[in-house]
Amino acid sequence: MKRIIASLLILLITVSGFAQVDRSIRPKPAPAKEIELGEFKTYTLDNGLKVIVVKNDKLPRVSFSLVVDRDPFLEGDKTGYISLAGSLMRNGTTNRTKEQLDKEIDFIGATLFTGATNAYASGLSKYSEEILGLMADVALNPSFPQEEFDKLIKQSLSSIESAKEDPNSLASRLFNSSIYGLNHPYGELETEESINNITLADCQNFYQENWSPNKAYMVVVGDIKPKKAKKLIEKYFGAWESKEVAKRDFEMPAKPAASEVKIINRNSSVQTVLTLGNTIDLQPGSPDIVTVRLMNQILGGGMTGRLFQNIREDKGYTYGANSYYDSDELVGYFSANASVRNEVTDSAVVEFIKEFKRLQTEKVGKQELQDAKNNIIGSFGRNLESAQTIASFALNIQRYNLPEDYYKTYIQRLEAVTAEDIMAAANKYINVDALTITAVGKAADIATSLEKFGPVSYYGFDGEETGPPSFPVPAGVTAESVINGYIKAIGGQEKLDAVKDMSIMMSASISGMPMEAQAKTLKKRPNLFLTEMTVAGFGTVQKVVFDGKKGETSGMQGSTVLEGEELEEIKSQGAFFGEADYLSNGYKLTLVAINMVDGEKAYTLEVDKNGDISTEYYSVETGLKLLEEASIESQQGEMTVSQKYSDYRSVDGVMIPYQINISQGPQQISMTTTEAKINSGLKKSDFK
Amino acid sequence: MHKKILSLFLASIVGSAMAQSKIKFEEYDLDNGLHVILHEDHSTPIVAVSVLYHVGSKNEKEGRSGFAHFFEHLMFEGSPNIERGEYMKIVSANGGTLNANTSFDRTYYYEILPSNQLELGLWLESERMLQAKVDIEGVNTQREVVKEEKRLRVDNQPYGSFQEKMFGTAFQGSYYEISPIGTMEDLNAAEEADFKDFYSTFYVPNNATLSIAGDIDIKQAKEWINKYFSTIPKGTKEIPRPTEKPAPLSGEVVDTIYDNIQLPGVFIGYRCPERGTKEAYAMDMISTILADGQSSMLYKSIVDKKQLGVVVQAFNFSLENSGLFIAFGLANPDTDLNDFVQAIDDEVNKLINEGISEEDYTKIQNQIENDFVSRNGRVAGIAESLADNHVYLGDANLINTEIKNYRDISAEYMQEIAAKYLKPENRVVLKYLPQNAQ
Repeated sequence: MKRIIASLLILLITVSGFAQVDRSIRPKPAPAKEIELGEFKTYTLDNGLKVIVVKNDKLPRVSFSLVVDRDPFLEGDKTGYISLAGSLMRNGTTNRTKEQLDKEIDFIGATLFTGATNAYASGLSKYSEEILGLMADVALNPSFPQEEFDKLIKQSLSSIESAKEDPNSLASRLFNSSIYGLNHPYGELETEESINNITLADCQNFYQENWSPNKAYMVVVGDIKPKKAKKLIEKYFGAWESKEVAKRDFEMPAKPAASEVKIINRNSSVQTVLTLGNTIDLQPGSPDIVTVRLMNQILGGGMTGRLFQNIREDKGYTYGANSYYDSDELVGYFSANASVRNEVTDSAVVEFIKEFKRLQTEKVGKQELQDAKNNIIGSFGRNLESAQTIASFALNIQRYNLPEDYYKTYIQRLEAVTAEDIMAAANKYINVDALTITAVGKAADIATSLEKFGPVSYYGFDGEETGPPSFPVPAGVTAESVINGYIKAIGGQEKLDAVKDMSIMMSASISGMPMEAQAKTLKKRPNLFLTEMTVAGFGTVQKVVFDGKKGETSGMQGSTVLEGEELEEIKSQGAFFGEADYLSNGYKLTLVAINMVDGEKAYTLEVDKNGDISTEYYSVETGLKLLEEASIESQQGEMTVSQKYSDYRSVDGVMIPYQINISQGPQQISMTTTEAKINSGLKKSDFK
Repeated sequence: MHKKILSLFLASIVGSAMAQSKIKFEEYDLDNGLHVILHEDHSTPIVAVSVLYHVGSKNEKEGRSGFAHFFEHLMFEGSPNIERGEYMKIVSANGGTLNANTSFDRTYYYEILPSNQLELGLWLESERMLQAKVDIEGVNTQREVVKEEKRLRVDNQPYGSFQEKMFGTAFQGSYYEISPIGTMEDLNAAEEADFKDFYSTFYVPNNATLSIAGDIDIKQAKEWINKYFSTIPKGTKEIPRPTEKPAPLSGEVVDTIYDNIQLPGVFIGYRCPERGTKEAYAMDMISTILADGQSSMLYKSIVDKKQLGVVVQAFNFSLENSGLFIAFGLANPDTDLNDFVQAIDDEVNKLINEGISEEDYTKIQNQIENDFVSRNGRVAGIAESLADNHVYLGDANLINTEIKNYRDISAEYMQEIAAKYLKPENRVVLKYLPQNAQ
């Protein structure tokens, strides 16, 4: 009786509650249910094949997964051949042609595929034996038909072609080859060349040398009794003979000393695929794993991660920002990525780094930590809905020699992680000062702004360094408009015409020379010219003068009077703002492209004066000249001479580059202006 | 001893019978029109809570494309009781996950939570049905996010414009013309008032289905549903719901698109009957025989024998009021797309002229059975199927019986339907060529 009243009361309370639900109160959870890990059975065949069976009859389906354990594999100039060998196994056996296999697999509605060291088959459990029989045939009796090999080569080449324009493929190629290196099993890239190097014999040998039952696991999941599974596996895989498989070892790839930026240019990109990260040393089963998982959850584990909340929800730069990590026996990685629109690429990098640093320097709050733990526990529970999860737990325990209760105690270990642990892990596993930052995007829009994070270099599809890319010149821009733009940028024709003389003092440091030199350059209209270089203790080391009539060069080797071509050269050096003359006779100008000069977009102009060709670069943004290059004949053969101009400053309204860097083959000269004067009243007598 | 064995025996029979038997569910309507579907399954301590709003891009006003999808984003912005940005955090911090998606015909939201958090899930969904925060701040942030989504999925992806182009051409002039993501212009032009109007029109209980599957106690679930949803007022506005069928194509349309791609690609879309019709089931089966598995007609001919390309696929995309049967493929770099299209046509014609062998017919029945039984492996999938079947076809129980609709399609009928729809005058052909081929 009491009970009835009580439940009526409860009913009344609940009913009256309907009318006035207090929506501001967030419902409390009911008592949590215990997460139960399903059971699995394991045994080993005489030939060494380890079998794991997880029975789950929720659906009338079954799957068989064969995994051959192996050390990483360096494929070198044939990169791609082991996965090709794997695919080829599915395309013909000593008992069945590909067409027969296709037909038999599809007829029972099954799926069967093979990889370099794995095979997977699934379908309706009423066809368990047929499915396993087909799988055993491809795994044990592959015939490696030449015709199918040729087809796969052709398909691989096509896939490579399609990857060339796919920004995400490009991004993963660039990131992997950058952090692991091109000569590492995880960093080497499939290329057209490497695919063409593969032979049928390579595939056969790979299979012969690596597929062996003593290195393999067979994982069975689904609506099948362990006893029946065992019987079937013994029937189809019992005769598989085991063999010795060679061990391979690799060194940890070197980490960069400081952060670096690597770009693949894709002119059509409206978004940059950004990836930041580094390699990590995190072994499967390491006690750090739960800590790193939590750290990653807080940082970039989905919609509630700091990266997503900051970069998407707060800034709206992207559709998604996440971070990832992987534990691996050889070498793992940490990475974070987002696809962001071009103009906020650098801002996004700033936010990424900010979030990394915050994790390294500030303790995670109590609530945030608990929320992250709850999230992981929830996801752990959700994954148990699939029997495949139990199977993968069982496989990992065997494969990595983990304690039997590794997953049973997982949540317990996770709950024990502290805020200090997270901070320590962030410092250990995120190399915030030595990040590899890769960007696949429109270099013209993003490269300059990425320079602040580290030296920028450019790569091609095959991982080769390419140097800065060039871009097409927009319609309407001509050689003439570039020169006019330059004249305007340095002060305008009127200001330039008003310059009667100039004197510039510079201090120069020359590579390989211990002391600084002083350089003086004087100019007076129409074309008087003097340049003199002195070194303390040596006096004048070189001097060139043109007094309006005759030219002379003097120095430590004595003096020479200049004639002919050399005299003409000096005369032209004396010209004031010679670029204005480019538009008059005698010059042929070609506007070639837009290229990058130290991360700045520049119009590339080829200047041809009677066969003397130089290349000049004018900033797209400021119009100023950034660089001049010419190739000259020297005793060492042809050599490129370049002069870089920077640190432009206004002197009486005329822009003068205060910094000039000259490079002649191995020699580097850095010249810094100490004093620049215009119209100081130079006399003819100063040019002696 | 005997007893024990017997009971074990019984348990195993009952166990497997329960497990593989049909999906049981209850359904009912609240007074405000909210349709509720409940499925109880205790095998994992989780629950999927979902709400389907019967609004998709086809319900949008002219000049306001992308609204339905935009709302999907806006609905995570919170309510008077859920601060901006908190929605996702609450779910995540309580061990759950969530997401949403928008199609031409409907918008779907779900949370998957530990089963002891069912009440929380109901509170969350009821909050945004009753009083979602639809303000300019959320609109502005999400507008940027949606633009990034469009850049990511459409503008920055090879062949990414295919959906826009295909539907734009195949359904020109109809409400299926513009894809759910909408246009940037319309998104920019939208104002706060538009959003408020959209919300009060479509986000009402009488336009929604609450579908729950997982480790629940039905009685308790009903109490909570009543508590949180029964007080949400029924919508007062008329819900615009186009029913007239899009006009048929007036002839074959062929278009060439130069894109940032390396491999030429071709997309062929045939206008088809709407979801749930006998003809649509036949088209599903036609897609199976043409392109499911490596023994399928298209794969065998194009990839294996003629080696014209790396991929060839076909699927039947059924919509509420129409459908599009899409065949597509990526060719090898040196393949002429006309040869590729011809090879597809050859196989389609073979199907139409020669029919289907008994062996092939058995094969596709097996393939369809395999797909069918695989569908209901997760409670989240079950919740969604139940809701979809109810809303589109008025019968949630199709989750158990739909296989029969396939079984009833004969080989001869497939042949007849292939001839009726897979003909040039009923299709759009989009050829994608590398930019440098221009």
